[in-house]
Amino acid sequence: MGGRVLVVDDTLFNRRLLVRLLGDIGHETVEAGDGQEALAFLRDPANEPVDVVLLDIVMPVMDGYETLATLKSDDALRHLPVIVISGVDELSSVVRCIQMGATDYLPKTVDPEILRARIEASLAQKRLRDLERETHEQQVGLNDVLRIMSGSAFELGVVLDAVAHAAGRLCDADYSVAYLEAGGRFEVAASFGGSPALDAYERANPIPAGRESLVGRVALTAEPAQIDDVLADPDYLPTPGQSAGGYRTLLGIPIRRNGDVVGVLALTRNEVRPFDEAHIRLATAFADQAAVGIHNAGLLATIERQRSQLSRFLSPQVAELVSSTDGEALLAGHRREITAMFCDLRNFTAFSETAEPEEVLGFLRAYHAAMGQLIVEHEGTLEHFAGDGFMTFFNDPVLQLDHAARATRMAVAMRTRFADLSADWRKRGYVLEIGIGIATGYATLGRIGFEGRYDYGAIGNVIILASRLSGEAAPGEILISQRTYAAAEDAIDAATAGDRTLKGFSRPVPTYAVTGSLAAAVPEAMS
Amino acid sequence: MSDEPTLDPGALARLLEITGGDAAFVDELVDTYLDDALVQLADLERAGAASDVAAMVRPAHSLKSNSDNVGAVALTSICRALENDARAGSVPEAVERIAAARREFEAVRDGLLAARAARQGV
Repeated sequence: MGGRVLVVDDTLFNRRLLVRLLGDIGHETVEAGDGQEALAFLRDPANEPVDVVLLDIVMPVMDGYETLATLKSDDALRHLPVIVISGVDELSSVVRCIQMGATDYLPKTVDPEILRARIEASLAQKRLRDLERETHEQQVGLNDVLRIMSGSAFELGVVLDAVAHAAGRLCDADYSVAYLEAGGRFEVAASFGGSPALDAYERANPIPAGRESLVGRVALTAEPAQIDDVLADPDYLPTPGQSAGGYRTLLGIPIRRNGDVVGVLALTRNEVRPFDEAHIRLATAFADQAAVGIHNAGLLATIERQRSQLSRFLSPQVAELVSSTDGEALLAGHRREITAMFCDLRNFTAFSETAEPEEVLGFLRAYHAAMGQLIVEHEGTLEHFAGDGFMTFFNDPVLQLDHAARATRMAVAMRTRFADLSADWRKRGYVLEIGIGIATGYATLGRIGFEGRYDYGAIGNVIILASRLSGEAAPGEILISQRTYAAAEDAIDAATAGDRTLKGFSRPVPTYAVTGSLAAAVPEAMS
Repeated sequence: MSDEPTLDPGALARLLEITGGDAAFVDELVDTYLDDALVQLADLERAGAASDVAAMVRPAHSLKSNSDNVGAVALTSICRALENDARAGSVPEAVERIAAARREFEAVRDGLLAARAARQGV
């Protein structure tokens, strides 16, 4: 393989002879009459880079020594091999040049065989270094994609763009595309390079599985596939995209998720030049990153869905508060007496481990729907809902004089509703029980969380007490604190349930178990 | 030094050989040599007249190596001696030796052109 050689010599005679001989053995040449000219050429970004410099020592303007010293102190040119041209009687200058970083020397009385050998050796050295640098660049490219992924892990478009871009550039492809499966066909999700006509065609024509296309083939086999020359492949059916793009060699790597081909990373070259092992490995690494991106995007969709479901449980009052100007002060944080209710299920962990995931989700959906409805009916503020447990409080942000009674009434209604729900499940062999804890006391309320994910929440001993009581409650039991009992006494039926030693509380805590509620009517809220 | 030949015909033959027998190219190369040499001689003469020893190094060097390539044996020796002395900082009888270089160059040119005419005549 020929190289590109810069011949630096002040005499036209030498340059002509060297240019001729180098041309004869297949090298391209450029010439410079002195060191300054050579440096200007090498530093001009408009010039195609050279592989080797042949440098005369004795020259006007800037001699070989100065040129060599300048090259070796220039980060961009330091690695360029330099062969000094020297007369046989100038070996001391050769030694000096080698010490300064010259690669080799060439006698002035030119011998084509020596010239060939020295140039080849320098080219081989340069190629090795280029290869190292290429490997390094590939590493950097992969790291770029990884960095983009960590920065925007849930933005699939950004990730796929980065993958298409890096894979196209580093695998030396003319056009690179990340296809995603949609309804049995593969659609362009991101692309890089390629003519506008080709890209437009690919975007407008999703590809089905099948041997007549590269993407189809990868979809069929779930394995990487390469078509060395689309025009010579018996099964490949050239498309208008092929005519528009003129590609010849194709490489396709499956993007797999849970064993399914969910996409294909395709790379094309507009000449018959199959991708080598290193490029295939690299493309595979990028396809794997695309798969991670798709997985992350799936997670995001799930989270978004859950959040939108949650928002249905959020009381309209809170939703209004969040968007009102008065609300800002409340959101900033305030202290108020509230009644907090914790509710969770007994045996839920065992249930979720033994039941099918679909059953667990089905159950949770019904449970959330039923409990949510009761929260809305009783105008409670739902703070969080996590799996089988949730926390609701009353008297904030909307003031409710009867907050203790309300919470207790809601708990009783939930217990009754849950009994209906769990009866069905009991028939299927799953015994699920509800446990509820209620406490009344002062809490700090307002916006908690961080930018992008704020909750309207409550912090305080009362919350901890309600949570502990819920943990203490026997299956089907509603345990309330003394203060709740005192406040709701007239509205509920409850019996003492003894003093309990609870984690985080220094003294035993008196508790009451609710048996039923007296008044069915829900008093009006105070706003 | 006077016993050295003006031209070593082997050098031209070698140039022909390494260029794959491209006589037209060798002719061009010889013309380039002759043109270059005139410039180098003029530089030498200017430096000699001004007794500028340092300014003699480069033209002496270039004329030496080019002359070597075309087989101008005696001229190569004259130039090598001039270059070495100039590097050492003292060139005795500079003007006379440079004049000798020019005379020798004229002989070289005559010889090269005669060789070309002889080849073309064949």
